[in-house]
Amino acid sequence: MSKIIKVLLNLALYSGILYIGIIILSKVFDIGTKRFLVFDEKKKKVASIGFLIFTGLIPVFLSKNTYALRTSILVLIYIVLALSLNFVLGFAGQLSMGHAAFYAVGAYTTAILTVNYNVPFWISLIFSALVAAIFGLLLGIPTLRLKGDYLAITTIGFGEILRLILINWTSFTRGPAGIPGIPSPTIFGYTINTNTGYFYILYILALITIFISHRLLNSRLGRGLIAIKDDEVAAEAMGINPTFLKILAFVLGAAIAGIVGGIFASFIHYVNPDNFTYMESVVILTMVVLGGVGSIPGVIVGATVLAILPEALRGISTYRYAIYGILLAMMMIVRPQGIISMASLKGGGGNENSRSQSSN
Amino acid sequence: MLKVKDLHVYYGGIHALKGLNFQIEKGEIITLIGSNGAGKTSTLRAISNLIKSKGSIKYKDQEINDLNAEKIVGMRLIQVPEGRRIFTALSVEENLLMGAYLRKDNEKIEEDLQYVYKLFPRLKERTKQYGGTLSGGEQQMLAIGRALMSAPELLMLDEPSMGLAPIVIEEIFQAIKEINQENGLTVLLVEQNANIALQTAHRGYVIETGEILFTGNAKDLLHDDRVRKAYLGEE
Repeated sequence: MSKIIKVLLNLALYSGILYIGIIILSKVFDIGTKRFLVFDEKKKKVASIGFLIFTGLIPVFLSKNTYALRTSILVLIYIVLALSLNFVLGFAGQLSMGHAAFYAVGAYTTAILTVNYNVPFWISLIFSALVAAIFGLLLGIPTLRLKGDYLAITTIGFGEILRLILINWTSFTRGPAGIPGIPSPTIFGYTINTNTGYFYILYILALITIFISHRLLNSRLGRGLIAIKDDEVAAEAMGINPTFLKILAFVLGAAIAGIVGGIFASFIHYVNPDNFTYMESVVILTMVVLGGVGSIPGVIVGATVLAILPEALRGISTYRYAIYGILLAMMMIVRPQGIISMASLKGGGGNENSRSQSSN
Repeated sequence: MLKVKDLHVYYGGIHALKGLNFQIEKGEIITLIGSNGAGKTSTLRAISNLIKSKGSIKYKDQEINDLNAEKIVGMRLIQVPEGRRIFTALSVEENLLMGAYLRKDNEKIEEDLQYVYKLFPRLKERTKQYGGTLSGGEQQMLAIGRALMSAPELLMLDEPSMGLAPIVIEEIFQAIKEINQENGLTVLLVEQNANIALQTAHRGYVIETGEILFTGNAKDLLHDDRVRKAYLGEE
């Protein structure tokens, strides 16, 4: 009995800490985005480049601390994963809860090609993207008519089926034993097997993903996606083809998740089905929701916080998933639009107390 | 320009349109008036092919009943949907650009954007504002502006007066007249507000329970006893 009370007390304590944490983070980023938005173009550029240089130098700062460097590599992996889910969830508005499946497909493609067939890493990485994209297409086409809960259930099913295939098709995937010995990539004859090397590969991938997200969001196709999410009938009346755009989002998200899966496989040199459980999909989803659905900086912040959190919480790791649950519930109550909402980035309506323009 | 022949629409077992016939000539403003459930919106949706229908719809001498919605927009037959349905998560300017989604002629798009701003100066004051934060009247202006951005040849408006204050209705219908007179744009106007619709249009069709009851010049209809009784609430 006393144990239950202890657990409940702990959960209450964590809820309180998370509540305060969310409020502080939200306030900080609210002020931050407001400051940033009033910058002129030149200042924005300087700030962005400064941020890039600072984050790019992280391996130098952390060169003595392997543990912190490996954590920052994980952060980058999750940033890319969360951004790839953001294509589907944030831009197309499709609640996909099987995103880890594409990650798994990418990881296994690279693992099997490099280990069993001696294909060079970079070529197998391209195959990771292609195979994951095909799976995205396979999942995207039949689920197009589904929305919300129904789509969520279907995608959970997809993720689980894929994981079960990985476990049971032992002749191809070695089942629960996993595939060890995945080689490191080489560039111009140099083998990249240091943490710093992986950091930069993922850093570049993250930048490319951010670039694609940004370009897509501010393009005609991106506006088309937002329009579909907003009102599908009206979008169709404008001549937008919802089928094409939704599938595009699915395929793009899957392909990027596949690439990062391939790099992940090479980074830890070993894949097994336990890396790609349903909880992994939930964690990625939580990152997107925490940061702000559809908002690129938001998703990056969400992924960073949630990738570091379990490391910071090592001492109470039994509570990890309970804390995720509390965090999601807390976000829905305190800040449903996410830490940096899409609306606040455009300087509009997002938070109730801002904008003089919108009140009339 | 548009010829509708024997148009039928079914919602499951319900026979919503029972063989409509009407036509629109180039440069006209035509109005379909009728009460709730008469089949006005179904007619527009059938033309835009947002719902399935039986019968012949000829647009510029081409049968369009089998084309998909996207193709029809490409043929410059544009609908402003009922209830405005603007994109709340996009800014005013982005909403307008959505109208030009299928167009590639960037210079002309910019020109049309300025035209919409001239037509509705209130939108110009609010370019960066979210669609969802506009008032009802501004949203209707935005919806019409967005449709104009598709460079329509035939514009179909579904109850533009819905839920708006009389003075705003006046403003919007004035703009519709202006577009028609300046650019010769053909307009199909569906309305419950028979009074303002008939004042704006050239010709009108009175529609009830999926059938056209009678038709005539807008001015004549405005003084027709049957119309006055049924739709203008006069004894």
